[in-house]
Amino acid sequence: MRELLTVKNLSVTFSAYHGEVKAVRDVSFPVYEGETLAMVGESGCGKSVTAKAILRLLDHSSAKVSSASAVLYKGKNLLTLPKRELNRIRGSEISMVFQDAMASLNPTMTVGNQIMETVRAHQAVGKREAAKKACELLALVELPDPEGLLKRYPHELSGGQRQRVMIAMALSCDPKLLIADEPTTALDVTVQAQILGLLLKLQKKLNMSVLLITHDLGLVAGVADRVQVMYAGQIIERGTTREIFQAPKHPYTAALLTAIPRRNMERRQPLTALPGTPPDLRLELNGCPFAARCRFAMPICKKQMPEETEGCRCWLRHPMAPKVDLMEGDRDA
Amino acid sequence: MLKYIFKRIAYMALVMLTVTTITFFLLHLIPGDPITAMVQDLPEETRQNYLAAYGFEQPLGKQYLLYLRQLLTGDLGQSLRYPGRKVADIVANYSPVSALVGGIALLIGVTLGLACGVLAALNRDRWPDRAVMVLALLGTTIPTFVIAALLQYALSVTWPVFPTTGYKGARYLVLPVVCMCVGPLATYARYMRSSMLDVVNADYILTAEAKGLSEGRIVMKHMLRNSLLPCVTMLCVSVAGIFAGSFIVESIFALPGLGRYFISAISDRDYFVVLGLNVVLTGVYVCAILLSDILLMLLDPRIRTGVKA
Repeated sequence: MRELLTVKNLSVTFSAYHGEVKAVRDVSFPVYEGETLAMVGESGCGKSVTAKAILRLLDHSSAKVSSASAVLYKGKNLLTLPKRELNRIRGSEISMVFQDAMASLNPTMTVGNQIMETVRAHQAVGKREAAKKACELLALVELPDPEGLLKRYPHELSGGQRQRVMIAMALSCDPKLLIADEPTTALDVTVQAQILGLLLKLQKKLNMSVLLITHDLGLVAGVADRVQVMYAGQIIERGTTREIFQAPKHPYTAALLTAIPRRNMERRQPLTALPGTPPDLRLELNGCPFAARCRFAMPICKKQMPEETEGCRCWLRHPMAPKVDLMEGDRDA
Repeated sequence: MLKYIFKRIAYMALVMLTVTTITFFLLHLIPGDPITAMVQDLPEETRQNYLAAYGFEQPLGKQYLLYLRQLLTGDLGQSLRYPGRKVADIVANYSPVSALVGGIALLIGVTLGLACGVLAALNRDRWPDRAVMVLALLGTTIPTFVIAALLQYALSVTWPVFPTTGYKGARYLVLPVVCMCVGPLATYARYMRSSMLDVVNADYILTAEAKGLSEGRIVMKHMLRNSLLPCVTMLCVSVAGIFAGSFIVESIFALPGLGRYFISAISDRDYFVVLGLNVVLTGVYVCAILLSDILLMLLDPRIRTGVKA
């Protein structure tokens, strides 16, 4: 598989009243052509910031991307590209879908105009042609009556319809990579499934890569080819979806998996939760950020962050570490 | 939609009636009467005759009903101080001056104010923002009469570029206009800045950026329209206000405007002029508010849907 986009040594800090928040800490990963890569983690782990940093969408007054960072796409570093060239890539070759479609669509512009605007920003087409294209796109995302929809405003649509419009807009120029930042979080469970199914179908159809950002590990199982788990601004485990779900290597990943409620659970059986909170991201982290919450923590964990071995940053992977069953107590479930 | 407008017009009539009623009784609460305001040492008998001639000896309630009946026939009444001068004529003669000066001032003030607000919001926490905010603060806090006096001192006395007072041509309008545009400039700059900041941080601006739109297009197409919406209401009220004129500015620059006339009518106890002008100005205001609501409905699809439903 060929690499489509490579994120290299990405570090992002935010200046806040009470100090510098190191939201993303030296993250590197590739996105391959045609794959779905899921980036999973709890709120505040830096997954969204990473996604936005790729297209330079972070608020430059508060967010600082370190100079060592690079996002390579077709041999160009998106982080240093002149604005004009970046705008040619944004929305056409790499596009993005956001979490809250209601807030992400301009409330005073018709759906049609918002899609046509994207088409016309990247292709030299007239108004009528753009409208035709917009119609096709709305049909592509399986919305009924595309013609009529063009003249509708975002508030006249349902949540699922709005997200479909967002997707249509993102697909308007046949992107190579679609970054979907929590695309289904704001939706009902049934609609979630529909939207995800649609995304997958369109991915196959258009042969694009999808970077799926989500906090819901359960969502990822049937969708992603590869998964990377983020914690406290770092990728702590990555692998194929099969590897992650069947044999997680990091205690955090294991804890996330055990926390997914199952259909065959006993009545009144308490849900598994992970105690504690993530570390304060203003602090310099020397050891493993998960050490304080990890039930397998060893003295070394608090002192030094382990290097990545076999896609996992955990001292348990060290040859001298004790062998433990990460999913202990969950095997029978 | 039509039903909505009819309902609004009914409310407007109610507002006008209330305002007229309150003004009527408040006016009669002020000690003194039109004749004593004009000449002090008049024989009591003459005074009574005069008052009786205008029906002021009748009970207040009856006077009120009589006045309402007169209003309903479309007659705004005439001046007590200058017999024969009709209120309608006063409005026709004096409000154009107020509207001209106020209109130019409002146009300049609002345009510059909105521009300053946008500039400040787009450069948040940098020097243009700070400069605009300091100026806006000065503009809202320094009273108009101070600005007027300073302008007269600098540009009429020290460097006699413009005439101090009077109304004999375009040059006479410069100082009053400058003086009157300071207020709207400052207010609209602050208002536009905050409304623009709301929009700048909105998610749909992020979407617009992610779509690869140029910065200019994002500002023009996505930011401006949405941040101007809250200003529409204020603008309609400001426009209504220019007909009333500014008492202070018109007095200082001796402009024959409605504002000055209005205040002198109050001290003259010129009941019908005060009441009549009040009715007219209230009418202008309620119409302006209706207009702003209709405008908002045309500009904001969300409100349109709400009204339809």
